[in-house]
Amino acid sequence: MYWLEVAVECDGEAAEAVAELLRPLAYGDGVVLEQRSDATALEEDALEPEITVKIYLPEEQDAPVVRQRIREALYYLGRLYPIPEPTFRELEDKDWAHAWKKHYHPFRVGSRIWIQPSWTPLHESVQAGDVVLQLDPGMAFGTGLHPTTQMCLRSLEELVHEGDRVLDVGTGSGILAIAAAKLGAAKVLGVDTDRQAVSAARENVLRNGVEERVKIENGSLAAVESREWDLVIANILAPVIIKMLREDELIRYAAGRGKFVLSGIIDRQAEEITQALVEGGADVTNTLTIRDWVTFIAQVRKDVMV
Amino acid sequence: MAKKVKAVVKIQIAGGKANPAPPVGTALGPHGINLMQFCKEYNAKTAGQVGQIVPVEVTVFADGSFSFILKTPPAADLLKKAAGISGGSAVPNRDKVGSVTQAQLREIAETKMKDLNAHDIEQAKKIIAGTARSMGLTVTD
Repeated sequence: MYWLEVAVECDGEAAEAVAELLRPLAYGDGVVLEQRSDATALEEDALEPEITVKIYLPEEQDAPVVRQRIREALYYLGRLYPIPEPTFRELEDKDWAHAWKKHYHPFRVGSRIWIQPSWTPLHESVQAGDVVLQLDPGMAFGTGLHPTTQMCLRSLEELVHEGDRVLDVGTGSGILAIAAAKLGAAKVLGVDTDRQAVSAARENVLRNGVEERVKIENGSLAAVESREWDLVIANILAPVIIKMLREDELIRYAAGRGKFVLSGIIDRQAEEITQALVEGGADVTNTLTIRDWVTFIAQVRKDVMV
Repeated sequence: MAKKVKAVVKIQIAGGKANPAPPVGTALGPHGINLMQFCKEYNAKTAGQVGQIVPVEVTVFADGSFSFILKTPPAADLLKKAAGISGGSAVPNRDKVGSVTQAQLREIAETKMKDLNAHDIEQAKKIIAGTARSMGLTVTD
């Protein structure tokens, strides 16, 4: 399948109007205004910069009549501002979805975890005893490049013990679930509500040869039956984690004095996470910070242990 | 030394709902940006503004890294809310679809002042009035 790109070149003043005109037709109501690179160095009081306004439509919404409607709408707006004809371009997935891969190289996280893009050779500094995660994140979250994921990996290095049972909620590419298994966990379950993530994670599990110990399922926390986990990981976003703590009894999924790694939290949301953890029956035992991201390590409190 | 800027891309998308499909994917993917990383950061920072369009200005550097700042909602979005209409006119020079008052223009100009290339509020109001005109809105006293 392709995506239809509709591009209109105009000056800064007309750009907003063009964006507004095209928005109702755009996929996800999203409009892109790209400042052409030769205009980035303009002085503050220079003329309005040249801008290309772009929207995208999925293939099934592309038709001659749609293109005609776009031309007509722009024609009428053109009575107010001079606006050139739009250009139409059909984009294949490969043109944009994988372009970032050329910047994705093997790298180390923590003291002995290596992230290895599946299409690159092993890094020369990898030593015996190091944990190598072979990954193709596809279109799923979890490349190991994000601070939240890196803090989770570092925490796992310390927290995962031989034979542990680990639950990974919002597993994405499966990076943390696979890391847990390679660090010694005996049983790992990764769940994700996004089907694309589930298939990417399953492929990554096979790629790393941990399919005996790691299962990946489609669903949310509610789909998890067992409540016997030594370690529960959730690297998602604060509002989702707060909801799981307050409404879905996340703390109850841990066995005994089980531990938690909670990540994807911006510093200003940290206080509410702490509150929800305490109300749910856990103590914060440690926090890690990179830039404005915070990762929480927590443990079930003695008095609420089940 | 400052990193070399490759492109500046502004994307108008709904707060808290970025995903790697177009327009985010098609706008940023070709520049070598890690789409997941961008989406996660954007969604975390706009979690309180779901239901609103929160434009984001992304600066892409030559090595594939990026930084971004969030902007005020588009003038057109604010004008639609002020006029109580769901969309602009298809033929804005002929078919008028509503009106906004001078006071409403001033309020929008104040909200957007920091993102506009205007030296004072009167000039900012003129820019907003121009956008109103292009949507088929008339300005009343």
